[in-house]
Amino acid sequence: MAYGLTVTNDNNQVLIDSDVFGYHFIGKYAATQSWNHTYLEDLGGEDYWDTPNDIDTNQTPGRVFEYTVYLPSSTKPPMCFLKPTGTGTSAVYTSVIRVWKYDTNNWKVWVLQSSNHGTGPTLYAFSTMDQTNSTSSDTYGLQTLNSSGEVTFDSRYKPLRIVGAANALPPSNPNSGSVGSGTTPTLNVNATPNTYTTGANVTATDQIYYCPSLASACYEYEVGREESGFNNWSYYTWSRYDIWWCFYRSAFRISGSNNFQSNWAVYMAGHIWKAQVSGSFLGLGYLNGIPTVGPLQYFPYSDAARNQGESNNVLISRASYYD
Amino acid sequence: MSSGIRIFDSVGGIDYDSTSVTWNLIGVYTASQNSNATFTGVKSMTERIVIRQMVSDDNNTERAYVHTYSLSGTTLTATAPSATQTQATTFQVFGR
Repeated sequence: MAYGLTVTNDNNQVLIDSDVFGYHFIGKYAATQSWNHTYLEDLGGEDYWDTPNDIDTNQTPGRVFEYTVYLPSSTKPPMCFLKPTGTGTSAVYTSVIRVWKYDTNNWKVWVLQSSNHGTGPTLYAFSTMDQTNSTSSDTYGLQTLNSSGEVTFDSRYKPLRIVGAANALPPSNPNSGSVGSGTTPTLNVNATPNTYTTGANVTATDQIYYCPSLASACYEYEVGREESGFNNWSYYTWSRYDIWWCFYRSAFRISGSNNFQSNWAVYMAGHIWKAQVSGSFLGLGYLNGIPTVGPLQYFPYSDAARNQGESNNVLISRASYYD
Repeated sequence: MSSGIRIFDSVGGIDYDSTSVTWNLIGVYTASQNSNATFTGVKSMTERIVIRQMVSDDNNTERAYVHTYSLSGTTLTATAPSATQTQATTFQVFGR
């Protein structure tokens, strides 16, 4: 560089460079609302079997938490670290599953947590100085500017400090083996998580992480039943067809002071069924006339995963730096 | 610490400490949905990583594909795996 400031460490890694924007803390956020995403629909017909008509305990959806991050007139999404509600190898998994610009001043962030508990993670949001309104009156610290006069680093705004990193990939499938038997689906996540060393080596409960979810998957279980016989001197055929499904997203947890795990969480669970009397057996052919797959329909795609081979980098920081 | 940099605030709190390595943002690049894209002028540094975030105001695109990418020299190339179901993807390139 012909001018400016560069600070490097012994490994020649750049710590501060006035030519590039560093991330700075902009706030800590609690969820503004949350929900449990299920879909149930009786598609009609006269029931010979009137159960099951619910979401099975073996297709348990987690909970989605929505956050609103105030970042006026910004064009770049905030970098959202998560402080989960628990850590360790029995902790719930969480991940940022959706980010979008909501209006001029705000971004919306959705976070999926693998359990349906009402308490969600805390969001630690960061942004670059060109996206924020500087308001500090503190006259101490270090500020760098690039050649355009834009502030690239300002110590008064708590620069992002990374203590660990990894490159994470979810297991290839959320659910292996049988997906159901009889009228009982077995669609809950049973994959063994992938474990990564982060190098953080700090108290797990103090860690926050950034790793947006990329992968999704959807698996279903279908079953048809048929019965026939005489009723009031007439011969009848009764049939019923059920489809259960789960839609999954990749999710993560801090499993130890130096470890990070990647797995899946159920984002949405659904169950639809249809019955018929005096007709032929319903079968999948009948349901093919029902738009079960596609946007705004019952499930987004069937028995497949997307982006599960796309790893994403994980960054670890410490909540205590910003609390 | 025996060497490095610490930056204090006016009351003696530490705002920055080089014992915790940081990653600096080299750039944010967004590839539009269903389209390939090439971004040039990506600054070279000793180490670089890329973190992807799918960005969409359509909550029915959660099933979508994410762009794949390659980062070589000063060029970031984003490829849409599907011409109809690839979501807009923001690439955050960090360096140190």
